[in-house]
Amino acid sequence: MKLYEFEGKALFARWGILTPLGRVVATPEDAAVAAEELGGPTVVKAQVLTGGRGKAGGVRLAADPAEAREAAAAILAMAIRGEPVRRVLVEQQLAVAREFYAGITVDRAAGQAVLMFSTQGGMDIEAVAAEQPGAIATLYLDGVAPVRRYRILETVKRAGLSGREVTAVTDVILKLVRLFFALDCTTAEINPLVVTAEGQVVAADAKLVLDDEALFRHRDLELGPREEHQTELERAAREARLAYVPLGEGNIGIIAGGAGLAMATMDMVAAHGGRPANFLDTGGGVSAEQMAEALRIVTAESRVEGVLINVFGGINNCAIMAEGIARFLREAERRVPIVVKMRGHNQEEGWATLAEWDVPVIKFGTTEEAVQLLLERMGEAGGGVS
Amino acid sequence: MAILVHRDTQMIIQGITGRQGSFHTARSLEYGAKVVGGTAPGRGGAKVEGVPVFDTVAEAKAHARVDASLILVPPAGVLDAAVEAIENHIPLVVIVTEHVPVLDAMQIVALARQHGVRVIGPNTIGVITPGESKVGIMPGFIYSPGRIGIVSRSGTLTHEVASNLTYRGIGQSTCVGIGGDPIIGAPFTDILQLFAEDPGTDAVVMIGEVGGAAEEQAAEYLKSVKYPKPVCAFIAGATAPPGKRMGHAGAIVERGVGTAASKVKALTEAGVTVARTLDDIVRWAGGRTAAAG
Repeated sequence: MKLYEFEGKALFARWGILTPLGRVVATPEDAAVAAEELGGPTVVKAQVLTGGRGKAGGVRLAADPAEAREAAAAILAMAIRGEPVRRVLVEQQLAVAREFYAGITVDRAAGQAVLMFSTQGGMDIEAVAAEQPGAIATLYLDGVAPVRRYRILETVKRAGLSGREVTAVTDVILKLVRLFFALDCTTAEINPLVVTAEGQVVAADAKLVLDDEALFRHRDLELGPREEHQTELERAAREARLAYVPLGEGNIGIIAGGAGLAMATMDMVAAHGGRPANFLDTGGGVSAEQMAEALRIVTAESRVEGVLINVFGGINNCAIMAEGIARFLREAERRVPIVVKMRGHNQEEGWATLAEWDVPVIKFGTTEEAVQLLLERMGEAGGGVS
Repeated sequence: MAILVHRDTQMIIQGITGRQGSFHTARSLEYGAKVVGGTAPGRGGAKVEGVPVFDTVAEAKAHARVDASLILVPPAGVLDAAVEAIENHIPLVVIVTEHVPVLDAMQIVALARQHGVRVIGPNTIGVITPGESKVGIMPGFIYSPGRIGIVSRSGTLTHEVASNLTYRGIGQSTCVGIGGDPIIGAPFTDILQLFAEDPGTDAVVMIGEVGGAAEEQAAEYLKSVKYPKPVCAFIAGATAPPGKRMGHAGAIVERGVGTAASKVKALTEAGVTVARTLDDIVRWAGGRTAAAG
């Protein structure tokens, strides 16, 4: 789960990381009031979850409250990469002496977290990595060994830092590392990490991504709703713990158990000239109701003219999944051709249920055969309807 | 011969009294797996399908030799269960549970390395040596004994490929689901290495998917060791749109990393036959066993 900058900064403050004084507001009038209260020049920043905010014009400087009002009005009227801006953060401008980069993320290949520090602040870290790989110092963290302050100090020194800044920056990064592990982050990034003219080390930005699978440990954070660009179907799927991905303009719904099988099915549909409309991974331990809901979701859009269900009874159970398909058919207002490829635990019971509903089942054949059968059936159904 | 799991492998099931635990205890016993015990804190002394239940792994170990543990506890309990198995030096720990927090998986992997324990998963179907035994949740009857090794990130694609082979008379030596999560205990390379040394395996099918760089690393390994056996790879998700999380955390093409094209290129350069479709795998494997026979 991505956090808004203002949420990240609130958490930074709780962990003792300095951030600029600021207020979150939703109207130009409130932005002017905030600028007045903060005093002096401010910066007005769009609060969105998508990247590329700066380039899109979502960050503006304001010399006084009137300018802050103007900047907020302009930004609140924007959509950044399709995401409407609903709030802005109005902050005091910092007197910047130097800018650094500090970030922690998960390195899949290493199976560890990795701290990256660079004196090239404000830049995209991937661009720095590509152009000057030597400018980034890294430290691997395995989540088991305690994080030692001196190791972080060595890391920032390796990046070329010296003098008094070394200890001040080390202390901020140590706090960031603690926050990363305490909150189950998959990304915790400060870019830029600013050293002010007064010598304070301040997080001018905050990018935090929390691990969705660990949110159960962090209910106390009380994070508000997000991903407002989610459709109703995506929300329904999320509630039912189903992974649903709309794919565009196709007419074939795909339900599969497991991401790999779902993707392979999607590839196979495309290879036979079919056009996938969406993709739904049921995951494991699926109930009859979840399977029925999966069918309701993938057939909700009228352009879906056929559904391929490709599942196994492994961690799932064929009898339960077939019961879910039957439940959907019992109540469905619109019938589209469905082909089921299903085998595994309790397959005989599952096949029997589907036979009662005249749903064609590929029992021993391949995914390719299932795709071919569905395309055939859709051809027939299409001919009959139109 | 085979790898990781054999006829005499003795296993326990952690979370044996749960819905998944008791169901898969019955399926494992049916398949002939030697389930010597199970754990469920607070339920010590009970029995599931005739299998004794213990409060702790240490108690189960005192009762019988334990070669492997199958973990079927809910996500929030996985870290503790896996660490318990690792610190009790169970040589093979298979974590079936999906939705395990990333930082928990990270700790498990680090501790497994320290203790010399092999962890498979999380988010895996486990390991099956068809006709001998299994430490996993796969339906055993769609697998069959033979000489093709399978290693896969995707559980259900392992079922798919193995059953397609089985129904066409091509058996498997051992099938390993390494798990679909971003952080897993045993990457492709570990399993490929075991297959290389296994006299019971003639050829290997490797099933990958978009996201991450595990397939590229496997390609690097295959090339560097001049892998001694023929390998056929399949990459799911060639038509997956970038930036979308395709089902689970592991399957996402982000910032151009983890595309099917990059994986196919790396594997092709490593001398691997890349199957364009799932059905191509069956045709390839048919050719390999014919050649072996």
